[in-house]
Amino acid sequence: MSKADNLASLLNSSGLLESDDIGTDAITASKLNIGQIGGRRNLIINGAMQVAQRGTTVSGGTGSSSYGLDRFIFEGTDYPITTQVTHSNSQITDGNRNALKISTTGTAIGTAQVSQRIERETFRHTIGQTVTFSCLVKRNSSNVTGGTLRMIASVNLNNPYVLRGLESNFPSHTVTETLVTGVQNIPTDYTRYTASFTMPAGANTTDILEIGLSFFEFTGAGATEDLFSISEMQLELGDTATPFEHRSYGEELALCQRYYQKYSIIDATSVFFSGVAVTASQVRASIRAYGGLMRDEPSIYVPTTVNVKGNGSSVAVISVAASSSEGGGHAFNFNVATNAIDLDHVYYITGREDGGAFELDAEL
Amino acid sequence: MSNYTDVKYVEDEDGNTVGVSYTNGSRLGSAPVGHRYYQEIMDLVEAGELTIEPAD
Repeated sequence: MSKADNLASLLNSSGLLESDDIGTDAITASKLNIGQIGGRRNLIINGAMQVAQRGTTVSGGTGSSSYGLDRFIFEGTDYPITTQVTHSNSQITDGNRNALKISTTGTAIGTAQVSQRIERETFRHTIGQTVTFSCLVKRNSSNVTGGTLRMIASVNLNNPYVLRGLESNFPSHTVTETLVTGVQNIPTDYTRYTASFTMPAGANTTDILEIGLSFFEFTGAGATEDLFSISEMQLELGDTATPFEHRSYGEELALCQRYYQKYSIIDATSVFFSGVAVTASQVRASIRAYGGLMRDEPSIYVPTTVNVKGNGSSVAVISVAASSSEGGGHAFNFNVATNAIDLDHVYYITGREDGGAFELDAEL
Repeated sequence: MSNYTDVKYVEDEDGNTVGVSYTNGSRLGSAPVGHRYYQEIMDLVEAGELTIEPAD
């Protein structure tokens, strides 16, 4: 019997070859752990929309980008149509899945974009190779129509600090793939859209990748309305969209905190950081960020109602100033009134009332 | 949309500009040179919509 006959004898009545027919333990996990199907495939952080340190609803203005759910930038624009539109970025729970929801508090006309910026060191191994983007999308409104749903990817953001999330601002080294023509044709149940492309090299070694979805120049009659939901966003090496790679909440949170961290003030007695008075009006505190140093020197936000407390005094912080990394932490100067504190004494940075938060931001 | 007030340069001990400090609504903030907030403030300055005070 020829080898061909041997193989043919293994086919079942449907003409298929079952793994058990090949032999016991013929297909093992080690043999599956090759190439694209191996673990750690997804280059998108928080693709399952689990982490929302900034809150589950973040509103953004017209024509400007904002960070909403962790690592995701969203932007609503009137370009090139002049009708005002404001989009918000919300986390919703839909069955067993979290999703990023785009909604509007105005008449939805224009473009809405949700994207993520990825450091070059994270995607450099994919340059010149085929990568595949995949994402679940569903339509929540019966009023939206026209336009297109697109995947956009650009690696030409050679100044990563300037927010220019809109595809109209991507000058070159940009890939655009139309996923749906007419947003009214996006089903109201989740549908997985995929697009494969060759990762461009960009023009500079400091370029970052921005990739995501653009609901491009659609129209809608509704106001204050849910428009679309997005979940399970993935970018992977290879020409095939494999099943979404779930990571634990803890893993995703740690990945997100490399870029943004938030310390909520529970009550007026919350103590956050300790530092030393380097002058009679300034405490320098080295903040030990979760998970070690962040991606880069972060900016800081603190409520206007924080105090420097210690050595028998409690005085209001009147300004805060970024300093530099030292001693394994990110250093900041907390300024108080002249001669309000004693040089070389240790003080704590505390909340003065309930609510508010300290925020460290090293996003791209 | 960000609403920066009380914007001042931040200098290190050697007098080098290392960032800006500001108030934004009910928050005190500061961003190092190169940060996107720093760039955003510089863009507002260039557009004539904001001025930065010298460092204290």
